[in-house]
Amino acid sequence: MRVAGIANVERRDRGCAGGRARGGASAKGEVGTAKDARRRDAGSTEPSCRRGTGSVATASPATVAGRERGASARRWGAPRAWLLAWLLGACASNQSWRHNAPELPTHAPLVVAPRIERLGPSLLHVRRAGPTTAIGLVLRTGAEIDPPLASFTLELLARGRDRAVEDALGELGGAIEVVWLGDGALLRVEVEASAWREALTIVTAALRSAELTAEDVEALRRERQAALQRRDGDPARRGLHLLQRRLAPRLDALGEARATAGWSIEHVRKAQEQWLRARPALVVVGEVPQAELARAAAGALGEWRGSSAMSAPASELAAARREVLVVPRPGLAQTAIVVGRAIPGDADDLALELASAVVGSALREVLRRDRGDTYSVAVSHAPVRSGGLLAIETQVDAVATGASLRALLSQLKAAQGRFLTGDVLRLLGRAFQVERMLEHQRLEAVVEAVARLHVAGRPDDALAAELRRLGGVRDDDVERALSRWFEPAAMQVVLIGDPEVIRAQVEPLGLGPLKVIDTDL
Amino acid sequence: MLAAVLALLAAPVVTPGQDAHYRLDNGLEVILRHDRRAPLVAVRLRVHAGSVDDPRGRSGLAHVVEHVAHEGSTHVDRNRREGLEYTLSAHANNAETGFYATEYYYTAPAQATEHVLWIEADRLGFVRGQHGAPTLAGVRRIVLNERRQRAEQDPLARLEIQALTALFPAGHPYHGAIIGSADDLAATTIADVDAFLGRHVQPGNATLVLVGDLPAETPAWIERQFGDLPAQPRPPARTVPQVIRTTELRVTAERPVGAAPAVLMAWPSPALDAEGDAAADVLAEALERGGYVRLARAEGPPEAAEFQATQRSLPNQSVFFVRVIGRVGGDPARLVAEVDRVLARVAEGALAEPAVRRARLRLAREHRSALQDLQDRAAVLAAEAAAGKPLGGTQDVAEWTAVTPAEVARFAREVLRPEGRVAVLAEGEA
Repeated sequence: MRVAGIANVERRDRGCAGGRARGGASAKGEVGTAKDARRRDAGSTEPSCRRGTGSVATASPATVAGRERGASARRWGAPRAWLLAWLLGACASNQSWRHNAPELPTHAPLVVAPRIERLGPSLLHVRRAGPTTAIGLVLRTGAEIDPPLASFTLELLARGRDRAVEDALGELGGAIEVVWLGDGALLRVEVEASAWREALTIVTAALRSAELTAEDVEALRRERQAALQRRDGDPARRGLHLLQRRLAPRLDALGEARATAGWSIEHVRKAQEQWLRARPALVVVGEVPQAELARAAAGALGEWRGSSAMSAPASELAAARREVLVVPRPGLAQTAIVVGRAIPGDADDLALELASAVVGSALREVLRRDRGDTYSVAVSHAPVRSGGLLAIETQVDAVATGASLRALLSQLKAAQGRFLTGDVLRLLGRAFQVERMLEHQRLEAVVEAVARLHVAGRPDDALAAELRRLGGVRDDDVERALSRWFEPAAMQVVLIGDPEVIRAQVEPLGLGPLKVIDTDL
Repeated sequence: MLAAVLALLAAPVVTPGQDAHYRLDNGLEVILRHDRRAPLVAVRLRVHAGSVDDPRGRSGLAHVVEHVAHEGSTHVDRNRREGLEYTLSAHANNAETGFYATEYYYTAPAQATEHVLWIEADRLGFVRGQHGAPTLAGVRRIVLNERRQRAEQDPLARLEIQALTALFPAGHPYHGAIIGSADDLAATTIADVDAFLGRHVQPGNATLVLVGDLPAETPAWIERQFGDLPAQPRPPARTVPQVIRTTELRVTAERPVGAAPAVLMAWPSPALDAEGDAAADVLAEALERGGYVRLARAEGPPEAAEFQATQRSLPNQSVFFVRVIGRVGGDPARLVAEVDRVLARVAEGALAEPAVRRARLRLAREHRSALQDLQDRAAVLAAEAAAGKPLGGTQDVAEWTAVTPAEVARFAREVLRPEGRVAVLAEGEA
């Protein structure tokens, strides 16, 4: 009966997550914008030309009807032909106005960012009226944390002994989840608005719970192993994971089956202690009285024994190796291509985001439309202070593996020094401003956005500052990002597909030796 | 200017700034909902034709039509549209094809509303006859790539297609996949596309929903852009025969899904909003959130490592899916036996009130949360209108809230019988 989220639908690809593809569609806008302006003019004049031929309509099926009748009119004689032509012309003119687009707005669209209010050192609030409230408990990760075990432990704590925490939140309409942020983690739940106090108490208490048992560990381990199987069964996800493990291991929250099999309750308790060393922050999004919220948060976090600091992980940027990693999947009709590199934590994220859109658009145009090798191409950047990941993902017809890979790398090369006009960049920036607003419609998305600011150590007004900067992005920033981060020689290539097909097509490209990987790293 | 004034005069009596639900003279259903939390507008055009309307031997045609409609219309070719989307920051757009509907949608800055309406009106009225074989060849290539990526690469997606293929006989509208078979896609012609467009893609067979910070001129713009599209009779709904299984059918998966075994089961289930539909939702939610594992472990460590259930609610007849992934070294037949034991206990009333209550509460809250997103809200409104429900989500929430443990048990007893299903069994990789 659920009407939202229709399952089993076939959806036209928008490209990379978050609609960035479409922002990127503009990449060809460096000619596209001007071209479009010409087309708009042409759109107005084209029908006139057709009318000049004596035909009264502009396109089929009206065109066909018009032309047939026009021919008949010549046989009927001039007066009747004139009358008919006038009538048809009048009808046609009713539609010909459609060639003219409505007038373009003269000003940029309004954009607004969530306003974050800091109610204490560890309490951030965003006001949003509505029937629900979202709560996030944000934890920073330190150097000592092993991401897969740490996320596993958080999931256990979020669930509680024999799912007691999950059940208690379920009574409030909530379903708790763990979101891995690379620089930290987020326990997030959305509940009926009137239940925020109770939910806040339950979530903060869950993290300090000492009640977990070996049975809880075993139950979640089974689920984690099933999740690993689902991930690795999907060629694209398997490839991305391999890239993460090699270049940005702090993004890898799921880990691998062999390590998962070895975790015990003792491992979990130790990981829990590590989490408790740092004082978490609370993010609340909803219509909540602030004085009452501050009191509730103080009650929940006030006696937290941990400090608010945790040793930051060292920034050791992994370099791509001069080899092509191949995960064999004999018989696959498509080869999954994942290409990427590590990105330092101090990179200009916004410029990289815009540059990714430019590259994504170019790749889609070439691989999807021109060559017909793929359905989708996604370019993404996951920032992490100690080293994030830039990844390009696509799945191509197996017989075109080598040619597609060559075209992809060639496009990356072509992106170096690509000239982007101020108008194109302005529109690209606007597209991303609107994208940010779209992303922040949901309460849970706002919680995550604020949590990401917090773990990255960015100021509370960073969301608003981002919007402003997107509106005034500079061409040299984007061009620098293109030349600095999309150099093909610095990219690690991962391929998942039929090994014989891959070998025959990729070895001649001279990208380095092929290294076959079919087990845990 | 004159045209705009005439359009305004001809517009239905809709008070600017007020919510509205009405029809244009040509039959187009319009729903307007004002929501000024952000300067955005969601526009959703739902055409009431989907894969159930694919002619015999042309599976996937509705989806192909969706792609062709993306390639441009008489007055707005693809490049022009994409350039405008870029200029207007209206880049958040997409389309999707389901069993019963195809939907085209934008979420854009409020100031782009008139342009989006212009684009969608042209898509509704002026795609037919606009494209030839070269366009279709390009679309076919993209769709075949999409089919490989979505339906063939991921072995779990394959299980579902196998289940629907086995559960519904050849020729049944639910047989196979919405995206169609490779053979049928290869056989599709531009004449098929135009015939589908002519029959189904027209104002009397569509609903237009706008939600957000709607400009005051919105009703007049709708009248101007859509009002003179010719009226056509709504095509009769395709007959979707009821399928009832009396013996279980077990099918071997085409290939393993990984090291551990997996099973996908599918039952024909009560139609959207029919008696039992809400109970099916509540049961799926309760089993997923701990209900299954608690019942399964009563007889020892569970075979299933992961359990998922969902009621895919559809008009005429729905499908209830259960998917379980086992442990490495496990046996898919033992997974089936465990699911049967658990469902038998549910049928006896073992899922008690607290588990059912939590499921009800979560479903209602999730529904409220979904309405925060303008486009999701538009999707809900369009689906409600299609189902003939009151708009706003109250009926769904009321029906979930009324579900009792006894109704959940009855659903399990009457619908989720072993003999009523198809099960696709995947062995673990050796």
